[in-house]
Amino acid sequence: MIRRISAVARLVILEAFRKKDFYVALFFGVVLLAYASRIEFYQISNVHRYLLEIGLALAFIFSAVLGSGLAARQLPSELQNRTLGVLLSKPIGRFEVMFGKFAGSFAATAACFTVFFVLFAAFAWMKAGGLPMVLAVQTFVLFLFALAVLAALSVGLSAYLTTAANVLVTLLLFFMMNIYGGTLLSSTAQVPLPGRYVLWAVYSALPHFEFFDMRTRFIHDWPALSAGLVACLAAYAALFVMVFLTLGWFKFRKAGTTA
Amino acid sequence: MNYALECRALRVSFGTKTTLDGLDLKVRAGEMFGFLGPNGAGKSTTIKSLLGLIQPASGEVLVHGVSPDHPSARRRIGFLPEEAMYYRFLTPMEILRFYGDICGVERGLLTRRIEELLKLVGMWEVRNRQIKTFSKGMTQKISLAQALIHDPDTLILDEPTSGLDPIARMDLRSLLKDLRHQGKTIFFSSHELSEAELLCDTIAIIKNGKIIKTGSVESVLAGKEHNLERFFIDTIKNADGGAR
Repeated sequence: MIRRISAVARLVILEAFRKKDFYVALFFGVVLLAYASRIEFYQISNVHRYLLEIGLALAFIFSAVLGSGLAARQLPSELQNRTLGVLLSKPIGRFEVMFGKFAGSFAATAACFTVFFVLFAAFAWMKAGGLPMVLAVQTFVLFLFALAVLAALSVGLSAYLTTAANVLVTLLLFFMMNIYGGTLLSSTAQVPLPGRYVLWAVYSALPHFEFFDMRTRFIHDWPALSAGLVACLAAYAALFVMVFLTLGWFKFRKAGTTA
Repeated sequence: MNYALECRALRVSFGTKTTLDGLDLKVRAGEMFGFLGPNGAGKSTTIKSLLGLIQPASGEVLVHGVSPDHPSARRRIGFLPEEAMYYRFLTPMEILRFYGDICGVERGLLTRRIEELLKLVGMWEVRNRQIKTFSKGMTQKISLAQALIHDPDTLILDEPTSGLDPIARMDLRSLLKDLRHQGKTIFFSSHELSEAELLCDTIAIIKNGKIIKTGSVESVLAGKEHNLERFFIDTIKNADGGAR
């Protein structure tokens, strides 16, 4: 099973690097980072913090866009290019195909994010004259968790939606949760019962990407998270990965193919 | 009797349209079976059912006695689709390694088998070129190699000669005969009736989702002076008349 999943994952990684998506994103990432490093904010104290925030946000945005695009097109392109029939005629289960697509999309995106993050770290080192290492590692690892959830969401939704709709929904959810996710819970408190329970259920069912966003903590050099909390976040991400892949498989297991 | 492929009262519908209407089919292990029929008769749907790619509304499909939903059944099948489509960014070596990994072929054996198959289909020289640069005929050869990568007991070939030039067709015919002599079961759908006549032990003619004639080529043509092509046209016309 591991060999079949890794074969599918390898295919996705090869596609990502041979179709040059990554290089385009990297090019724009470097250009924007270089441009941001030249901006002068006069009369603002701790200007490097703004620059760090911009740099980190760029790394997050490019990785998220790249990851959702790559993951969202996997199953539809197999159908469209009529390669799925041959693949499923081999001794591989449909969940294995989905999991392989997820693993490959995640691995390719994680590799891209690593490059972006290393560039960002070099940039941060230059601007701030040093880095809080534990926070940097936590910021990196937690965003990898977010990318895993994002990839699973895109692969799962690709069994239901077209690629364009999937990317739109995934990225909208990703950015909306990052911006408003933290305020949703307090908003539900103002709603009378039993509506509050419904909203609370919706709140719990949504993937809280903001839980993995360490930007503020990193930039302001706040205390690092405890190992226990990081482990809980890893479990939270794993749960959502399995839920999204299972939901996708539920539709995909009966989907017809064009052999 | 040991059957490699079996369909029992198979019914497949897409919406209100019934594509296979109680289809019964039996392919003995080790025989070369030609599956013939006009366009839209249900050949591709039958093949997809045999591969477990679509779920029948009723009836049963067995591959070496096991449902094709089980990966163990599909491990014994090699499939060559009518229109060969593969990952265009891969090279022939990578394609075969990918499918070999999926089929669980032991790694050392896989490396040897890839070389052997690429030489067999005459693609060894271009083994490191991406498939997107290949012609239809070249892709069809890769398609045949991928169908054979795990040394399956049964080959399901959908229009195997489509896109091949006359020499490649002749090579394919000779390869299929060799495989048949090795004891493989070969099930192929084709419009090339002369080819079916030349190669097959048994044929079945399908029309409107039902088998209207089946048997050995000799028994089907017994007592008739004409060839399979003439027989096929007459059978289809008679079936149309019957339907009216």
